Amino acid sequence: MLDFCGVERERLRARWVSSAEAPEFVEEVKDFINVLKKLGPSPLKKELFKTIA
Amino acid sequence: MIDQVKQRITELLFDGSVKGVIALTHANGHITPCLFRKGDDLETLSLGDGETSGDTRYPLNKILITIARQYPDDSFGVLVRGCDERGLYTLFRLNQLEPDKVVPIGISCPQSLALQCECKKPWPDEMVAGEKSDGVLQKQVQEAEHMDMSKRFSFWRDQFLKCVKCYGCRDICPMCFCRECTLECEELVSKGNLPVDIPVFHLTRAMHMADRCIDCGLCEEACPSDIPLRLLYKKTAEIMNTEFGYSSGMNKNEKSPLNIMAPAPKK
Repeated sequence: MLDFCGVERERLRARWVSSAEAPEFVEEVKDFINVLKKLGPSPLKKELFKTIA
Repeated sequence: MIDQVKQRITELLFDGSVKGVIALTHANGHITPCLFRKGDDLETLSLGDGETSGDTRYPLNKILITIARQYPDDSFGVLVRGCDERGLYTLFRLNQLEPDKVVPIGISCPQSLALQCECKKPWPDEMVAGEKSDGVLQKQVQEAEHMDMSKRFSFWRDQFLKCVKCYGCRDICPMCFCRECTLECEELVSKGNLPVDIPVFHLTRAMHMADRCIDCGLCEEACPSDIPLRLLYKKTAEIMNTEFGYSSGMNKNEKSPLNIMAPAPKK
């Protein structure tokens, strides 16, 4: 749906990680951060500032 | 066509199989929903023809839910088009109405209305009157997907910015029956602020419509800002169909894949 609305689908991620699997969680978050850094700031954020200003 | 409907309503009311029939009436120059009871004059009955054939539509199922909650032991008849019948099936599935307490009176929609609505099934399974019109090919979603990413973004941003947060889409929706609504949850949707939270407000509603929306299009008709809401819900419906082969309200006894406990899908 995000993709349909013009927001990169990579910006949303859902993963199932057990509370006993801390390392997996860390890996997942690190990976996600890397993806997000590559994508740069969200277009939605820019728009938000525009509407406030 | 209307005579057949009148006859059916008279029969139902006369033999007492229903307590009342929810349909439309001409009153004070308008077409409005009306509960016809035994002995009522059916002269003003309307099938929703305002300017052109069948252009005046109301969420009669929604009215039926309200009445059925008040009179849980009684049966009622209701005038249904193709979309309304899909709605009934979905409301049966979601336990909002009891199938043995509802008598649908089906009418088909004329081709002109079917085209205008981009309706995939402009006739009910159980039809009392009318001729089947042809289903219309679904094209709007594909057309929207032809835009590139940044165009899609600015298109939807401009549409969502128009929203005045009147909640009209939710209030008219025959599938929106929850007593507590996520869109009124202040943790998710800020209260009283405009523009709305983009895209949270509209996408939340789209998500909730995923296995419900029967594509009746009343939301889009009700929207004072002309936001193409239906296009949004058509997309969720399309995802449900490609992922699970499911279409809300198309088959009477079909369960929603979102409500079934099953093994994870194979990759």
